[in-house]
Amino acid sequence: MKKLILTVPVVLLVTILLSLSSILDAAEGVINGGDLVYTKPVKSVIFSHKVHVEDKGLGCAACHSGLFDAKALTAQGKSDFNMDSLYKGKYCGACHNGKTAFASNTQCARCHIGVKGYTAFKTQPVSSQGILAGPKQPITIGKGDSAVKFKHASHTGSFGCDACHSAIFPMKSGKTKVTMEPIYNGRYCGTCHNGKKAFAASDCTRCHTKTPAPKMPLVYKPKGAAPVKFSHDFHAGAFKCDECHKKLFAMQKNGSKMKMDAMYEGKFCGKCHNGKTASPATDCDKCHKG
Amino acid sequence: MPNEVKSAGVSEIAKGLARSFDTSVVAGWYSNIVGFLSGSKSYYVLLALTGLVVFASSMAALNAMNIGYRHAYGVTREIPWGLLISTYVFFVVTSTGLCIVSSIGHVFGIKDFMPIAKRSVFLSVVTIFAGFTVIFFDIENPFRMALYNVISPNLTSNIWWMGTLYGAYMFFMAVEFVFLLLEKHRLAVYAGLSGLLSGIAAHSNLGAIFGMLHAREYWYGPYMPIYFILSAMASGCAAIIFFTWLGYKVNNERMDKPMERAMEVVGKLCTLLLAVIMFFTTWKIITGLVASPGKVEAIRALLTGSYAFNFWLFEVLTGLAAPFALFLYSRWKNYDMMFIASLLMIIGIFVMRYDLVVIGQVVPSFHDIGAKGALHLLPYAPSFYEIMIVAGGIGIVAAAFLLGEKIFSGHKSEIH
Amino acid sequence: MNLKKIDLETLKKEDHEKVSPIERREFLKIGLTIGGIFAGGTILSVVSNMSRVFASPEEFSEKYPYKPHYSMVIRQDKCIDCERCLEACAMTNDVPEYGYRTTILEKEVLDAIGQKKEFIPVLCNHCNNPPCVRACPTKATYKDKKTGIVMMEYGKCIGCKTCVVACPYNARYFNEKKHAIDKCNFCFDTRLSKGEKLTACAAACPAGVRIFGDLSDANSEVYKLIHQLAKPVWALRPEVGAKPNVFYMKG
Repeated sequence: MKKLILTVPVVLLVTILLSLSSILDAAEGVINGGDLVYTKPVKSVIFSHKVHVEDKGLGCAACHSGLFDAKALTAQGKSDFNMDSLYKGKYCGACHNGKTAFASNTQCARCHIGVKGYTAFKTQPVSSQGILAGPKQPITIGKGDSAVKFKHASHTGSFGCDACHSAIFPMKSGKTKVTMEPIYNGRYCGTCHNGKKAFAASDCTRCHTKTPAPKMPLVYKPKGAAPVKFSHDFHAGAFKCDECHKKLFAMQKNGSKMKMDAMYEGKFCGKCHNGKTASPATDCDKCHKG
Repeated sequence: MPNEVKSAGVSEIAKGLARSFDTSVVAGWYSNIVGFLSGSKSYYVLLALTGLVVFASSMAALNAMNIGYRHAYGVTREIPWGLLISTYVFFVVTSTGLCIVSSIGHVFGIKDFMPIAKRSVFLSVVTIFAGFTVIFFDIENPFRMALYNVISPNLTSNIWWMGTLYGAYMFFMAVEFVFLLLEKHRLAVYAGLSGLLSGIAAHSNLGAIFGMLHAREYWYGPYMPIYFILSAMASGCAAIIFFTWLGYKVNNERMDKPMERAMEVVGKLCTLLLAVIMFFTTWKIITGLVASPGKVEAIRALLTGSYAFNFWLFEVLTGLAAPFALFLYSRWKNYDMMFIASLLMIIGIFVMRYDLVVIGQVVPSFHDIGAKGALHLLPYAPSFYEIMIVAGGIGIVAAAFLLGEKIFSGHKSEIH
Repeated sequence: MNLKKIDLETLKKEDHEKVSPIERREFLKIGLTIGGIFAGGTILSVVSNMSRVFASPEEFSEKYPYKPHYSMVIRQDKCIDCERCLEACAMTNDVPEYGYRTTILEKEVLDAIGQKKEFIPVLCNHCNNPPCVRACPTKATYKDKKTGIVMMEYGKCIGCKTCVVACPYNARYFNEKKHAIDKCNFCFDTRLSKGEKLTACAAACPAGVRIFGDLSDANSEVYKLIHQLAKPVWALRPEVGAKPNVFYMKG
């Protein structure tokens, strides 16, 4: 019995340590002002967006329509990300075949910058373009629970500084008051996050990672009826924000001026609470609790 | 050696030993001890100071051994020979020089050189001992050397020849000094000749250690062994003048006529050798400027780069030009001026050894390939421990010199 | 000493007409064999001469005193500095952090068209005329008579570091644990003597940069890579005269 009591925590500890070490082992690639540095399967290979996009004039779709994920460095997680695949025309090999661009079995050190190149990248934040990779610390936009923590790294892998600075954002955190309205109108993040260039701004949880829905229930006190306590809990768990906001409800308490008649016509709650999708709006006691 | 001479030598030694119990010799030894006790206050203070330096240095050396030379010294795998090796070279060069110049007198019989013989022989033993002490703390396994040099010798190795021959040299010079003390002049001549020959052979092998390494362009060539011998003679002359002048100051005596004559001829020889070395150095630099790119870069570092300060101020001005001018101006009669000249020479020659040893290694091995990290000359700076050990070596020489002056009563000898 | 009186008049003439063609050929073979060993990096010239004397390459290989004559060819253009060879070497041979037996140099040519950087692995070249072996005072380093590997006998090393200064390739370093100079020995004690065919670095390379093998075997890859004229093969620092056994090539 004593032996069991001892072995369980030991096994647990070893497992935790092993998994930790594998996490630590998994050297992350580096994203650096337009350059990506892959560290798997070998350390390391550099990819420069500047060379391909600006110098060679390739559009995003040239690679990001099947060859590579839009998210940086996903290729190195794939088990077939090796030279043989390249020779068969996958990944970089789609162009680097000796015809469109130099063959991938020539000029190895042009892309393979090795351990030395990786060390240079990690220690110096200056990329091959000579521009800074942006602040390493995330920028907090907004306050409280609806604040967004913006990480430059997710953008600097694909774009240079001038993609946003300073036409869209000044190069100073806290200077711009960013709200959703202008974003939906194509300003600030909405310049690209409009569903065409990048995911739509109504995909709330992509950026608003902290408690997207209010925790406190919304209390409505209608005239001549029992109060309604609406808790986001169930609905936010089942639906994405944009299923209700803002086509059905404004994202502002008491901003919608709801009336039961409108609900019976399929507006507001009535859009779903019509007896078919969900319980009918005529089921008064369900919400009006005295 | 022919049998007759051998047996004569043995019988002489036997007679000498028998005589050691003779009261007159005991009285002689007693006078040595009295001599030691007759020093002025400043003498004992100086002696104590040198003792302190030697003690501090030995503490530093032992600590360096303890923490490992990789941490203690400034040497690296690219530059494994640093201040300790250059100081060793300095000491053995001086020792060989003392031997060569003193042998002009009592081995080859040139009378004018005879008065300086005893002191020179004594100091040649002292300086080589100091050199061995300094290098003892550089090589990682010094005790293995005594064993494997004997049972596993490599006859193509300059280090082996140098080590073996300097061992023999030290023995012969010590024996010669003993014979000089015992006034056994014929035996002293034989010991001196053996010492001279083994010294020259050892010393040219020391030069060849550097000169036969084709991988190091700065050193490679027949120049090194020749330069070392000439440089040794110059160092030897400088050391003789330096220590003789000091010796007479320590004993508070005036030089007699024969000694003054000896100082003059040694000074003249020194001046001649300075001219020769200046000539050699000039041509080494000029020819170096049209050599391989690595060597050219090394010479440039010496002339205008990071070693320019060492070269122009210490090697050229202090070590060669100023002494040369001072010797000429003194007309080899102003002994104080000659002393200053010899002091400057000794300092300059110390820096010459350092520059020679270090610059030969600062060109990276893969310089010609153009590899990163091999494009520029490598840096080296001596560490505290290396400097302390060098101080200890100097302390040993200083202490032994001071003691020798008193114990051996100024190394005076009868002229034959 | 009694010297025999020799009558020079009655001595028989021993000129070249007395040497039979077979004796002459044997002499040439020995000469070329020795020349071959000491040619090292200029093996190509020996190859062309060799064919005039030997009936076949096999016959030439038979004469090599080193069997196997270990050698390495480094295909420089394929090196990507993944440094797996360095890790493998350090792990196999207990190489400490502060030292290395083999390393990878980086060379940058900023006005090159296309590729601007290249990686060059370097290691002990196991020279045929090793300056380190010549300079060692106690024979602590020696060229093995059977394999040609320049070995270390750690117990004899006095740590004078002459071999470190003598080496043209910066292949040696002082190892504190062994308290002697250490260097690449082609993994002889850790792999080759235990039946492995490749050194740790050659086995670890994912790109086929380090080709290790027996130069005296005409069927080995090292032999084939060196004995061809289409792609240039060279050695590092040939001017030093050390006659290395490690060759470099591209293509």
